[in-house]
This record gives sequence, structure tokens and C-alpha cells, in this order.
Amino acid sequence: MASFENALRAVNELKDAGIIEDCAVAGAMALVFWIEPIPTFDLDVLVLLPPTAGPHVSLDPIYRWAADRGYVAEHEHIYIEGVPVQFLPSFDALAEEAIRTAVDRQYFGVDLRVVRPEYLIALFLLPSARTVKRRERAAALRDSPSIDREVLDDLMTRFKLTFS
Amino acid sequence: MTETPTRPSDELLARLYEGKRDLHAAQRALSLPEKLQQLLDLQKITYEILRSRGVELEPWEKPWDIEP
Repeated sequence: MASFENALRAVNELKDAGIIEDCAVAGAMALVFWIEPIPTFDLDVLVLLPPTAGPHVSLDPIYRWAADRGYVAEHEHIYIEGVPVQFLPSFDALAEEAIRTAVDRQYFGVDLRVVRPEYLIALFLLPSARTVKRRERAAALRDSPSIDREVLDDLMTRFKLTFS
Repeated sequence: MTETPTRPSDELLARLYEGKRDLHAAQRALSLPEKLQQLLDLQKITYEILRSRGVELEPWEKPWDIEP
């Protein structure tokens, strides 16, 4: 049977194969690592892609990797070991920093990186991706003891973010 | 004569909120596999609620058929 552990193992293959430079679990699934779980149906993985000659990044190498392994891609998700995974290429300085500062964790012996809670809050509050649901997630994280207030304040200031 | 509605005391409300805080703290402290199992359970509950409300779901918005 498919397992979360195997899904993570497969995602790690992308890095080992040099298809991505680095990655980190983000989105609602990342909350599991910091606070109590909330319902979500997909796994967001922020990825740093290797530099290319052209101005635009492409997820084609990831889709080719998935197809080679028999993972089905449907719209923006790839079903990896039973888990719909969305790969989100780093889209700005905040996302890049979120990946680079992600913390190392293990799940049944499988290494993974998880975006820190302060960066999750900042990503949830980005004006371009802001929804009521994401604002609620940011608020839930803000009240958790795992937050480093200094790091959060710095991010809020540098990236001009607000909770209101 | 008007009856005064019965209200919970401040002490009772404080105890209830404290219980809620304790529950959240206990859930935060669960192991990752336990949290993942909770997530899988929540997916099933959420999915049924959304469906019963007639919410149009994306094909990927369904409980994962995986082991934690």
C-alpha cells in the first residue's frame, strides 16, 4: 500500500537526481510539523530549480521524472505514492529564503525539509495568494509556541506583510 | 417578572478555555505518525461534509488512500 513515507522518499529522488536543487514541505501539510493538523488534501513542495539559460522556469523535468516512474500527473498535481503533490517553483525572494532556511526533519527514517513556521506565516500572508483560509492558518501558527517572534517580525517588516 | 437567563460562571468558562488550550497543546505534542493519522481521519470527515454540502471538489480533493 502507498504510504506517506514512500511519497517523501520519491520526492527526495528529485534532489538526488539533480532535477531540483532543493525543496521543502510547505502549505497546510507543513503545519503538521509545527501545530496540530488541519484538513488538507494535497502536499505542497516548494522547489528551487537549477539555473537555466532562459528567463522562465519549467516544471517539465519534474513531470518527465514522474512519468518515468508511472506517477500520474493531473492538472497541477502529481500523484506520488497515493499523495497528490504540487511542486511550486520558488517564485520570489521570500520563497527562496523559506527553502534555504527550512529545517531538517525525519519521517520513519526518511529525510525531509520543512519550511519554518515564521516563513509559513509570511507565505500565507502574501497579498498575491491571500485567502481567508490562509489567513486563518497564519493566525493559528502565530499563536503557537514554536514561533520565533524576532524572525517573524523581521519577515513581516522586510516583506511588508500584515495580519489585517 | 422576567427571568434572568442562566449563564455559565466566569470560572466555568475559564476552565473550558483552559481545557481547550490543553487539548491543543496535547495535539501539538503528538508524534508525526500520530498527527498524520489524525490528518487522514480529518480528510475523511471534511470530504464527507463538503460532499454533503454539495461543494464541487477538484479530483485531488479526496482522502488519501495511504498508510500514515
